[in-house]
Amino acid sequence: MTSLAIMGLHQQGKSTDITGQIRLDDEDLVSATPERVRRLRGNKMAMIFQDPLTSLHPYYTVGAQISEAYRVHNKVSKQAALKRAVDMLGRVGIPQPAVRVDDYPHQFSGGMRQRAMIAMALSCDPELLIADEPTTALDVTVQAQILDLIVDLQGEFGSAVIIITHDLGVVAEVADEILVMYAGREAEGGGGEEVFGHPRHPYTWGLLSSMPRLDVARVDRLRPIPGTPPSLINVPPGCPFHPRCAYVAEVGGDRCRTEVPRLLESGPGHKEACHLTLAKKQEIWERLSPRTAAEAEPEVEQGATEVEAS
Amino acid sequence: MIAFVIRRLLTTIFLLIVVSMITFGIFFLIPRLAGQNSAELAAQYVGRNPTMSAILQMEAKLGLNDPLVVQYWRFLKGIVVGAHYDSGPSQTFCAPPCFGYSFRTQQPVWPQMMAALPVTISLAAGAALIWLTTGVSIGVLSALKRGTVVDRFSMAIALAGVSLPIFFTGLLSLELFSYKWPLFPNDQYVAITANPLLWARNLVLPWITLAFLYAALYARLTRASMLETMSEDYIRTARAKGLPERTVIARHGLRPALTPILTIFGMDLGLLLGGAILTETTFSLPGLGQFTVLAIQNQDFPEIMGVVMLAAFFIVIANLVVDILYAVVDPRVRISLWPCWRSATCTCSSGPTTAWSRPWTGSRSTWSEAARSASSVSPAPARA
Repeated sequence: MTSLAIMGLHQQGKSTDITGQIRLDDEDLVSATPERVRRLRGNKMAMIFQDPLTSLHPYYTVGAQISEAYRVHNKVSKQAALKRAVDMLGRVGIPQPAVRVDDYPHQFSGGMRQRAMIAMALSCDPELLIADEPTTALDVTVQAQILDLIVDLQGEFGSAVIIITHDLGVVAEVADEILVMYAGREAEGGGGEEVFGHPRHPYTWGLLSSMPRLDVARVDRLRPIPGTPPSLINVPPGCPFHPRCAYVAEVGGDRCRTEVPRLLESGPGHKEACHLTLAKKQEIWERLSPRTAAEAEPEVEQGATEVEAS
Repeated sequence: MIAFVIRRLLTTIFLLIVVSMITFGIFFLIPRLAGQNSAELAAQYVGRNPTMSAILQMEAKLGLNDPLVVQYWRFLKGIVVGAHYDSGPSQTFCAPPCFGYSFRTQQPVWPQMMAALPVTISLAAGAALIWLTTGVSIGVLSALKRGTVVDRFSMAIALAGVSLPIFFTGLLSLELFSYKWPLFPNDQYVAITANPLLWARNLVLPWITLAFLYAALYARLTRASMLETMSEDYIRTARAKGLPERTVIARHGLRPALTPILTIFGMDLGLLLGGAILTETTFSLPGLGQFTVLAIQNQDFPEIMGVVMLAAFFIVIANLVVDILYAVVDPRVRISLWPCWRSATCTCSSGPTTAWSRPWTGSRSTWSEAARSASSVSPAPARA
C-alpha cells in the first residue's frame, strides 16, 4: 500500500516499452501470454489516463462503461454490475449516483469524468492502480480534489498506486516513493523527503530549479535544463543525460560519455545513477538549492539596485 | 425529438421550394432574359414544323403570356393539387403531382416517372445491400490487418473499383457474363411482382457493377474511419479494462467508426434514387436515369423539371433520415434534442441547441468529421 511517483519532463521514457521484468505479485508480465495479461488488466491492475474527456466512450452511459469493466472479471448479472457502478460512483464523490449512472460522459464535467474513470478503475478492487498524468487535463482546483480522492481511495481500497507525472506538485502531494526517469532509465529514486530535500542527480536538480516556488523569494529567473529531450530510439551513449549535464567536467575523463552509470544506493533508501562522487553531489546541491526568503532577501535588494544603476 | 423532426421537415419543405424556384427559373426565367418571347417558348411544346395558330393555342393553354409569378404559382399548384388545362372544347385534368405533359409522349410526366421508379429502386436497393456488406467488412478487415497482404490486396482492388468507370466495368461484365458465358442474360427488366427470380437474375450484373464502385469507396472510407477510431483514447480505456479484443472492436470501435459511413450512405442512396444514369444506360434499364437521359436528349422541359424535383426530393429526404438516425446513434446529438426536463443533469439549457454546433462538448465533432470524410471521397453522381 504505497504510492510511487515516476516523474520526468515531457515524454522522457515515462510511458514507453520496457525490456526486462515487470512483476506483479511475483508474476512476470513481460513473459506472460497476452491472454493472461488481459485477464489481469482491469482486474488486478487498473489504469486511469491523462485525458478523461476522450478516455470515456462517448456512445455509452457512464454506468454501462463501469459495469462493463466489472462484468469482464466478475461473473455477475447486468443489474448487479450496475448496482456496483452506482456504488462506485457514490464512493468517488459523484452526487446522486443512482441518477448519474445513466448519464453519458458528455453530461459530466472534466473532474466528474476523471472521477468516473477512477470509479471504473477501482471497480474490480485492483491491487495496483496506475495513474498516467491523472490531473494534467483538469483545472487546478479540480486537480487537488482528484489527488485527494486518489489518496483517500488508496487508503480505502488498499491498492498500490503508481502515479506517472511531470508535475512536481502532484509528486510532493501523493508520493511515498519517487522514481525520477530520464530517457527510459531510472535517474534517481527514494523517499519523497529524500529526493526533494537532498536530490543527488543533475536531472533532478534541473527539474527542481526549473520549478517556481512560493516559499522562496524570486532571486533570479528560473533555470531551465538546456537542450532538448533525446530521441528514445537513439539514446545518447554513456549517461543518457550527459549532453545536457553541466557537471560532465567535474567527473573528469570520458566516463559520462562512455559508461552508463549504474543505479547505486548512496544513502538509506536513496538511489541514483550518476558518476559524480557523493561529496561533489552534496556540494553542488548546496550551491544550487534555493534559499529561503529570509536568507535571500539582501541579495534581492542588491540585484534591484544593480538594475537601477544600469 | 418530435420538435426536432418537425423543424427538420419544415426545412425540408423550404429546401424543396428553393429547388423548385431554381428549376423553374432555369426553364422559364432564363430564356426570357435571353430574349425569347412566349411564342417561341410555346413553339417548343407544339412539335416540329408548327403552325402559327397551334403555337398561339398552346401559348394560351399553358398560360405562357401570364406574369412569371403567376406561372410559378400555377406550377406549384399543379404539383400540390393538380392542374386543369383548357384548350377550347376539350378540358384535361392533370392529377396532383402534376409536372405537365411530356413533349415526347404527350402523357403526364408523373405517372411515367412512377413507372420508372421501381426499376431504379430495385437497382439502388440491391446494390446498396451488396456494397454496404462487402465494402464495410472489407474496410474493417483492412483496418484491423493494417499493412498486411490482406490490407494491401483489398486496397489495391478498392483503388481499381474507385478508378474504373461504370461503363467500363459494366460493359466488361456484360461481355463476360452475358455474351461469352451467358450466366446472366441482359434481358428486359422484369418487375419483382411479376417474377422475383427473373427480376433478381436480370439485376445481378447491374447490382454488382454499381456495388463494385461504391463498395470500393466504402471500403476505403471505413478503413480510414476505423483506423482513426481504433487510435482513440476510449479504445485504450476499453483495452485497459481487460476486455477481449473482439469486444473492443465490435462494441467500442465499430459503432463510432460507422457513423460517418451512415451520413455518406444516406447521401449516396438519395442520389441513386434520382437515377443511376450510367448504370441504367449501360444495362438498358428503364429507370429514372434512363428517363432523365431521354428527357435531356429531347429537351423535354416538363420531364426534366419533374425528374429534377423528384431527385431533389430524394436527396433532401435522405438527409432528413440520416439526421434522425444520427440522433439515434450518437447520444451527444440525441441529448440536445430532448427536452431539458428529462433529466436533472441536463447541460443544454443555454447556448447553441445542437451538439454538432458545440464541438467542445465531445472529443470531436462527429459532424465535421463526417463532412471531412465526405469531402475527401466525394462520389460524384455522374459516376453511377
